[in-house]
Amino acid sequence: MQLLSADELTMRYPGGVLALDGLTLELEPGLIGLVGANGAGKSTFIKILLGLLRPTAGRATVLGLDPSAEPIEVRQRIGYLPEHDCLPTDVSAADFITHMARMSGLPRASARERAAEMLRHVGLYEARYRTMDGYSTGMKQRVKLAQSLVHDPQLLMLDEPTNGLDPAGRDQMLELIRRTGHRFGISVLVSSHLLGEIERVCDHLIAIDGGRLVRSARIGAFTAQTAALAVEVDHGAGQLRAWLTAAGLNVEDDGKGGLLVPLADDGLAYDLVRDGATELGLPLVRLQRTRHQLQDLFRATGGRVPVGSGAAHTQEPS
Amino acid sequence: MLEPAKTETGTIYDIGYQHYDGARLGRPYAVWSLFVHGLASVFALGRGLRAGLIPLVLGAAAILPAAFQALATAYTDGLIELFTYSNYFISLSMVFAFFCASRAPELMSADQRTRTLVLYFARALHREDYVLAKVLALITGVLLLTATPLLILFSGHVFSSTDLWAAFREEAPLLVPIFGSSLVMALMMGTVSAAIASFTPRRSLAAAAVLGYFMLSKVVAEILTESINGSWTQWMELLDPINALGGFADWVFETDPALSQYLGADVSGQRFGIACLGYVILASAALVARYRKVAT
Repeated sequence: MQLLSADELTMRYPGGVLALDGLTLELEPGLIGLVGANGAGKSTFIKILLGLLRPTAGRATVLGLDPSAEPIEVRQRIGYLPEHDCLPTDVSAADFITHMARMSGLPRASARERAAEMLRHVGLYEARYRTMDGYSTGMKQRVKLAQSLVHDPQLLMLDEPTNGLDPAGRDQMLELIRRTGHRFGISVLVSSHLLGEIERVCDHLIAIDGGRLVRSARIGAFTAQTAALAVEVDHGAGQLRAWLTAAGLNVEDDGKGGLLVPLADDGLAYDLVRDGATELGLPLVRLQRTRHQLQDLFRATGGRVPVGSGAAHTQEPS
Repeated sequence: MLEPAKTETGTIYDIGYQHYDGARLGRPYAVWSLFVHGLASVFALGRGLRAGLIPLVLGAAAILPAAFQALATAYTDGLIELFTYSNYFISLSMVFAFFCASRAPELMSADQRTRTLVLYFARALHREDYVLAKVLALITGVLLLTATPLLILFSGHVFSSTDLWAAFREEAPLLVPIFGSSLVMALMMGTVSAAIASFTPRRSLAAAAVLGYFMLSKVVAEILTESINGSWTQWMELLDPINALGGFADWVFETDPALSQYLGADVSGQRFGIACLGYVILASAALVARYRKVAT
């Protein structure tokens, strides 16, 4: 069954800002990452899927339903975690999640039961009777996850769920998301501007930029083709680049004064870099195998590169 | 909170996930639940003693005068009559204004300040459903405060008589204007203060705005009434919503125009009713417009 689709989805805000520009895609159930720089249109896309915004043109479907036409039907089946703070401070997590469950139509007793269960799932069982003003950012994010799950949705939409978390909290949140998707059989659409995070938990990725689809594919398809060699020379990077290009390699700048040389299985790139540096008499200061990560798909298509620690190249000992 | 450093995430939370197969009661139930939740927060129920102090004190201030009056009626045989059905609300209008100013922001502004609004709108609720539940909760809360004292006055009249049944039969026709006027007061104070409070996410600002509106409109209405001559004058008075309610109460309780500060030979009572209705319609329209546009 098709999870969601967008057909020429366009959203222009009253102020004139074009947030989505003919976005077209189709997705199967699973753990889906939605990446893009800030302002790429991720949140707008999610809000349209929730029926909170009405697109200016085009059509979207969620679980086979049109969120503009049947918002209630759609929202009953979706859990949503907004990117910003959205929790009241003067109530306990248990009361709040129970209340939210009732807002989704769960009877009082079931609501209370599910709330406790979800808070246990996200690791807040002990703290559930405390008012939320004393919660840390990590705890608040987990309450937000619990409220999105409490009515047992078929699809979770998580908008930047790791925002503001420290590395440990980030890891825990990603692990929770991964488990929710894989073990519970709930499809997850998780947005992030950090590609590394998406790569860790998702099996499918859609990249959008400027409101347009850059790519949509399984994660494996992105990473397989992206092994590269990071090359740095003390000076004369331009010369080396010209030499390597002449030798038939598709060399790129890494944006920090170094070069990125695509690395095929035959390992020929190593030899060529060595030969080029020797011939030009350039001092080679770094020769390292890197695994291109998802940000390279933006470079390939001329899109903006999302920034953030998770998007950095992973260094592997060469 | 669990200590993530000590324990492995994989083992803590992993005790299985149960899908929910139970009843889903849908939109009407969600609206009802939100209404009940709202009514509880009007009186700060379950929020601890400190949060409950303001509604408790203001509630007492709205109701106790009626209790004293009822006792006075009974013991002095009607000699002391400070509060009547028709002047009760107007005499204590500031208490009701304070109550609305403290409760409307609790209901309308808080969800905007904490940005919880989007969690409601992302559920099986329409924006109008949310507004309806919240405003009805406030109206019901105010209604409890407007109807109770009038009912106490009513029982004061009945129980001060030696023949209870006869007294009841004599007084009973007044139950219609008692409920009618309390309902109109609650509707108007509730919608107007909810509409004002809904325009700011800041609770204190919302409270000041509601209170300021009720106080300033009186001043503005008085200035306009005095500075403008002619037939417009009597309509200017209606710019003060409390004035409109006072006139409405005098009208439905058929106060002698000679004793009324609102009714006169040339002033009919209906206009007060029309004015009250106008306030409710305007405020409701403002609420709907506000929540259609409110940013989530």
